[in-house]
Amino acid sequence: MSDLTIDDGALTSRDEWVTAGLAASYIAHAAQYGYLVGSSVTHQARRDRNQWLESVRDQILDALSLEENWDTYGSPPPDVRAAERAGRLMELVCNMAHVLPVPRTEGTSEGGLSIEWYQPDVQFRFVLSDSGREVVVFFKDRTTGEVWEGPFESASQVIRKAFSLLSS
Amino acid sequence: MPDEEYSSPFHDDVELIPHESTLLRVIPPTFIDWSGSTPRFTDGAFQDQSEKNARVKFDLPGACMSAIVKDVLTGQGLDPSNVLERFGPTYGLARFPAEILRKRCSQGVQWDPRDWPPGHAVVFAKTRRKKSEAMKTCINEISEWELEPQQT
Repeated sequence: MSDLTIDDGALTSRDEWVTAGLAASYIAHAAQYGYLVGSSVTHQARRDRNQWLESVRDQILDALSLEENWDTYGSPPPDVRAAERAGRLMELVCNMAHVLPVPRTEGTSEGGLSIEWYQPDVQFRFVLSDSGREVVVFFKDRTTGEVWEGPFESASQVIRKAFSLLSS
Repeated sequence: MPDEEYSSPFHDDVELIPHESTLLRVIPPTFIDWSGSTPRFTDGAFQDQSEKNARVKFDLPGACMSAIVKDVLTGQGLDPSNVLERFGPTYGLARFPAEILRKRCSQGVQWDPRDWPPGHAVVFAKTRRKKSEAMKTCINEISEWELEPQQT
């Protein structure tokens, strides 16, 4: 069983999600770094973290703005529930690894979201269902040939491994 | 991770679409990554349409993805670029070989003729209900650009 969990949310609209996401992010940052206010290093870290989360959120919002048949294959737009969970997941990721590159976010054909880090040697992604409840994790290390695919709940080891490789 | 009990409702049309066939796939701009020196199609470009979509809209028996048999297209006097005329210059066209698709990526190819485009077929997972993430990556890795897109 994983020691990683994504908090449940009860937000129902895109606006609610954006507002709450930004507020939660601000509060989390203040709580985490408040005791070090005044340190230029900490200010930089906070700016980097905020920029990272904003970049990811911008992509999630862009994905939410997709319309029916956005992929020309008749797919529905991403579900707001998937976006909510993706936002919470990325906050978790941001807390685990501060120096990751910004991932790429795409819609899936079933109304979910895919969030991927791609490097020539390492590929890693979360794929969220439309409800956001099911999250598949995929990892490929092209240097060793290792491939892992499975549910988020059993992926804590591979997540840490992927983040270590992606941030090195 | 194949489902051991799974039996695909599709038929792999090896005689109609032989191993030496080249398949084409339209790549929408949402699945094109321009962050490198050249455009890269992402694995998402090779995902199945949903099972519901396939059944309701196209009367297909399960999740699958569209492709075009290049020889059939060109045999009707058309060029691959004609396929993209309906989409615009920001769309690209990927190609992949049927034999490697079948053998390395555990996929089948069923003939699915439509008014447009000529040579339409669907690629399906032979060992599970829909493509796994590894299968999408596999198809990506055996694919190349037939026609590169233009950046927006």
